[in-house]
Amino acid sequence: MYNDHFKHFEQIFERETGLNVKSLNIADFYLKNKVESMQAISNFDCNNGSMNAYLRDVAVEDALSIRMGDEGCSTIIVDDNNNVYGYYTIVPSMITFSDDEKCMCLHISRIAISKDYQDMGLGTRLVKDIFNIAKRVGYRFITLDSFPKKFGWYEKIGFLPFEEINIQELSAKSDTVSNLVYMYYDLIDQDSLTEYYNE
Amino acid sequence: MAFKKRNPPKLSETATNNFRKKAEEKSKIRQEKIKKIKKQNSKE
Repeated sequence: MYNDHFKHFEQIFERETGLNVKSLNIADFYLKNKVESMQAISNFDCNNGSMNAYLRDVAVEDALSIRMGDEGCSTIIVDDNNNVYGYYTIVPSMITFSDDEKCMCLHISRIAISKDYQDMGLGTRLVKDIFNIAKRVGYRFITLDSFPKKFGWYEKIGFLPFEEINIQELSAKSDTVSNLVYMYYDLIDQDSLTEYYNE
Repeated sequence: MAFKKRNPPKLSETATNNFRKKAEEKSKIRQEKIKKIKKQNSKE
């Protein structure tokens, strides 16, 4: 099922973006290519030092340790020449309500696209891939922490902020950890209802 | 150095109520749609 999923992913990816790339668990990528893969990972640049550093210094170690790292499991997007186009890291998490009840969700810890391939629809494609994974394992809600400057992009996909926010105030804020906006996506949304039941 | 992920924050009462309301509405619509499809299928 896992291989089928990735084959399906490659086909959709190529059709929607024109890029011949595949998605791999980062540990599989490392074990298959070793030195070359580390070189490729080190060369990755998404214009965000923190995202680059996580991929280079933490993601492989977390995946190789066969335990769930704090930030989850990373999937890498590469072509046949080991060029890294992007990656995402997801982890099972919980939404905690005011009355201390909890609800399971899939949390996107990180999502990054190489600066050479931004604005080509890759990021949206990766989010859709995460939605498909969530559906397969029965998670209804996807959560993430968005930087203020990325808020509009996630909102366009359909993510909603948990807490009410003032857009003007938010747009003036800098992209720091203290300004993160906690957002969620409900897989039972109107679009998916239409897609699934009106076809 | 990559910063560590923060722990998910606990939602406020307003956010909890809004979230639950929206989620329940969507569940209801979905259930109604499923019911409708099942009814159509049983006729066929």
